[in-house]
Amino acid sequence: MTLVSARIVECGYRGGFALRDVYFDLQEGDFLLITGRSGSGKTTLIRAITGTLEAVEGYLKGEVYLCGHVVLGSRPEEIYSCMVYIPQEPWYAIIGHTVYAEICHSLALEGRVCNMSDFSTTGLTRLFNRLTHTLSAGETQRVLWAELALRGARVLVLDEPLVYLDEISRSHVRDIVERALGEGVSTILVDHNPFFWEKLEPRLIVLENGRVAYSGKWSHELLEKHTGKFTVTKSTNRASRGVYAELRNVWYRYPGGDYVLVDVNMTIQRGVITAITGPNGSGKTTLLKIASGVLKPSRGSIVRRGASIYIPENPLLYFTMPTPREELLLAARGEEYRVLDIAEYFNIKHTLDQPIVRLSSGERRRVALASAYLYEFSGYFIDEPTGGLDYDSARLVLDLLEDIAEDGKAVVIATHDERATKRADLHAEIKK
Amino acid sequence: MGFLTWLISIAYKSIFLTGDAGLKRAHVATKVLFATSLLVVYTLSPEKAPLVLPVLLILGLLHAGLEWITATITLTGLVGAYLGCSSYLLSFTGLYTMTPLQVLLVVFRSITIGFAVILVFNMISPAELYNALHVLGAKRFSSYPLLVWRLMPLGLRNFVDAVAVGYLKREKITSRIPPATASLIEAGWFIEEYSYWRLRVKSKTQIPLSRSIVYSIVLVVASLTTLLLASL
Repeated sequence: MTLVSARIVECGYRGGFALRDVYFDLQEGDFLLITGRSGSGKTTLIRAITGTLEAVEGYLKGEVYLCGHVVLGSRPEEIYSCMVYIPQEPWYAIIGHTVYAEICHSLALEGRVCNMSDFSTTGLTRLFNRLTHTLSAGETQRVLWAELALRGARVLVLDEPLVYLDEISRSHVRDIVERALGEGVSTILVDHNPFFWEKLEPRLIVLENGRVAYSGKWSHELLEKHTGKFTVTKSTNRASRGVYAELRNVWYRYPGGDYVLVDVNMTIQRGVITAITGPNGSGKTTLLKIASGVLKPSRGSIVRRGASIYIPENPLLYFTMPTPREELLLAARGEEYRVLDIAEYFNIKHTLDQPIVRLSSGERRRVALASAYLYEFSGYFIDEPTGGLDYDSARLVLDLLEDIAEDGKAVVIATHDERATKRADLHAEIKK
Repeated sequence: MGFLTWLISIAYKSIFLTGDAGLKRAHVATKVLFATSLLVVYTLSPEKAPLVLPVLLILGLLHAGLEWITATITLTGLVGAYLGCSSYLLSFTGLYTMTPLQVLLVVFRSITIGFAVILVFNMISPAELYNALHVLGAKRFSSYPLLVWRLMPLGLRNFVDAVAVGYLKREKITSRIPPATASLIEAGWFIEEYSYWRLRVKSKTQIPLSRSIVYSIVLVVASLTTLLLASL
């Protein structure tokens, strides 16, 4: 039975990007992987398939059918019961204020009354009464995976599902997808790292500049040609240039919660990149915030030698001004020539007068780094610097971090991305 | 980290420390009864309002523990101190006279009223509102209370993060409001997009609520005690 049928003549945004001529059918248990570089049209295609283009003032010429229902024009209930969509930023797909409310609400929309066995069978018993805004990204994804299992949807759409997951959780997600495929669920997945899915040999759609560059069977060689291959090349073997900060017996707990960090001792070095790694929910971001001075430890002490900056996973919280030019001018104390130099160096010249809210994730990260660099901080603490970035954008960001480290600054990143950890000089692993 | 960040974290603890736990699990009728008893005291005999404070403190302790009590007392204490001080200073204009004891009464009354308002707000269960909208036939909108309770702490947390980053950048706190607002607006866009269908589907059943007889009895006892204290 055909569960997904796409006949997309053109879709996109009025006066903006357009994706053309995408045609495919998916039967029960079919697995389609969509890949391509940043700006190739992956997100637009997902929006067209899930019928959410309208939410972002986009348009669709053509038709998409899910479970036999035309996406634009059917009753919402028909589309909702057919499909589960897990986006790249999973926390925005949660409506309930607690895990219990979230699961029960999603079942209530299908006319099902939730019960305790729904939580025990999906391994959510421990999270049952947790407030959803306190969940880590990995825990949030677990809640969404549980919804998938409980709702029995027939089409699964995943946008960059591995970005915030540790190695174990990634393998777990692959197992879940494999199981879902075995149960006849049609799966559409977008990933900047298609090679992770090689074992399942999905069908491929490779997008390039709004067109289908390849559509067909799995081909390793072809993917390397179209998406590039990320090779780890450290420009130099960097060595520490002295101690930047020391954390002694640091403990931390959030209001109403248990201790996230217990007796952490750490020395942060200048001139190198330090990667903080660890399983989901282990406290990587918390450690980064404490080390940078965003949070004060509940117990213990920190000695920093020089000013520090923290760039959140969502760099929007870093910015002060509405455009990159104004943001950089503020950091450069009004010296325009420094702004233009740094914009050239960080490859953001083309974005200077665009609203920051309209920039891509990679561009936002580069603008934030450029601004921080202009402030001349001594310590840079960056959360998930390559999260959701394709190979080219990730390479650009990592090159810049290396440059900052080579300038004698302390660079500390919290990440799950092995592209980033392989470029780091020192590693600090947090155990749960 | 600055007074505002501290204030926000106190407000956060006062309002969003617990999920659907504690007094949120009491029966809705007992919640209404307790809120009514407070209203009776504050409207009919406002001078006796401070007498209710011990009842409120015990309820708060049972609801969310000492951390919540400390945060809420601090928050209401700040409001009380501000009102007390401003009343006292205004008395120098000659419009009215105020003894130190009366000032203290203003402070205590403000703390009690503030504490009561926060406690009653803490008793509201978004899941209960969800069910109420479902029963009233507003099934398309039943998810909205859940969304509001999800977005409010998210916004506060974003604001605290934005202010903290501004502190590191040595910026004025007022300059941090735009990024915090932008991130909340963006969160709204994302939720609208990612939950596009969910927000358009009508609820078909209610969310089962786990009621607590113990908390319901506690609220009935607290209501009767409040009324008794008011009649003294």
